[in-house]
Amino acid sequence: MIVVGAGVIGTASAHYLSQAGVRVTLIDQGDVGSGTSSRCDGNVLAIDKDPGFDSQMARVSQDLLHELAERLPPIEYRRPGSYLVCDNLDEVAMAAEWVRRQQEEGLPFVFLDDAAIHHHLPDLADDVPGGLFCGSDSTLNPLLYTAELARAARQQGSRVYTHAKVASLELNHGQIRGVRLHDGTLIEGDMVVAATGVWTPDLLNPLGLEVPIQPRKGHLLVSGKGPLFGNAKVMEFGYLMSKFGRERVAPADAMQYGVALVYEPTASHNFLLGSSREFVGLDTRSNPDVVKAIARRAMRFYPGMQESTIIRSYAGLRPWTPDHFPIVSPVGVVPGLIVAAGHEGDGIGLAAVTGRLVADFVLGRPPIVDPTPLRWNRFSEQGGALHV
Amino acid sequence: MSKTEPLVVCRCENLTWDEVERAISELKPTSLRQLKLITRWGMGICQGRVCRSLMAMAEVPDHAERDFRLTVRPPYKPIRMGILKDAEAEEAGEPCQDA
Repeated sequence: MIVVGAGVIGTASAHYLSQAGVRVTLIDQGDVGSGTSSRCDGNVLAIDKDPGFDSQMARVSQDLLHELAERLPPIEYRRPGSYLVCDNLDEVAMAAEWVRRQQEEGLPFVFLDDAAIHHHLPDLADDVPGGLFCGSDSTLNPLLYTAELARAARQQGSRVYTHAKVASLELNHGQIRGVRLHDGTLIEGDMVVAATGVWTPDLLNPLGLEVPIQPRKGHLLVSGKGPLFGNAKVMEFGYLMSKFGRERVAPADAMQYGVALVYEPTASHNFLLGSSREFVGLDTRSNPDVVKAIARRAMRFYPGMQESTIIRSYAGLRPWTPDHFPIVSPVGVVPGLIVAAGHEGDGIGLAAVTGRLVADFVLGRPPIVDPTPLRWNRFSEQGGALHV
Repeated sequence: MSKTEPLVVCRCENLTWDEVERAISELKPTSLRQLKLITRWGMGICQGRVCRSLMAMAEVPDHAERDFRLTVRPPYKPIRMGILKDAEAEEAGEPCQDA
């Protein structure tokens, strides 16, 4: 069978499939992991997921990744947990409620009041009034993760074709029979997984299949090697507000570019700063105004960062969907076609559960999570209200 | 060149030529960019200004046209974060021209 897209979703799918004995041909228009999976951070989070299916799916993925990390060569995997910090007292009240609901779901969340947050994170600005901690959150190097998943798939008998752009899906009597490359080559296979992120509509639209995935641009800043501001990742609670479209109080430049603090220390002893959220097409150039807004937001929470050095910034395209859930689903009207795309900012974190679910579909095993909320046609169903 | 001592090819990231060769044989990168992403050559404070010509000798099957220009990414050179904050303070200190 064929997997189109060698980003983290495609390589994880190829890994789980080939591990189960399925021979996979993995195809990418660029290198392995050269699209969104090389323009992201290494977050594997439950802390920002809605309590319920969303957070449970994230937990399943965290556990799968924990097993994977033991089998794969080192990918800078570690599990330091993560924090959300509040900007103001309204956010503290919501954070307490958020923790209560996550605890009811059995997730390892802890609310941290004014004294506790400064005990945990001594570098925070004095006026930060509270926050919370999620103990299961982990982190890794996404570039190595994707490369090692591809290597594992290759070692298990899969083939990897890079710099081969798929021009079209090929059908026979309405059923998948392979893919046609731009150079005219037909690669045959009776099943195709479209793990094509923001490029998924280009692949599916010619078949009359509508998937509402849109590129949502995000910037990251990289510091020079130097003092870190703690070993766990820290985000602002307002991140949830912007992510789920709730009201948030923040400076104008932060609001304009959807900027919210993300601090991620890396194994290379520098740190990454995010984040921004913009719908501006496929442009991945770094915008200095957004860089400035992200740096300012970081210094609001970490005044000591004004002495840190920024050495570069980059931007990537999250595959956004209207309800923030990915599409991981067989496409019933085209037998043999499976979509695994639309993970927005959670592709690294949800790659393990997604790859495993794809393998479950192909092998006819019971799915590891309920795939109903992830079905491809949920957006066009009557009464298909958004879940948030 | 003596092989007895490790040959450092990227000083910022303390990367040796042996590590580069191992990454090429194990992870099979298909471009210099992918080699960069998995070994971190050029991702340090010099942004590849020192190591790029050296790394161009790495034998990876580069399908794209070989292009040794640096990808230029703001802020273009290392800057102190405080500079961005100072600019904000300056703006705030300017007299307001209109309502």
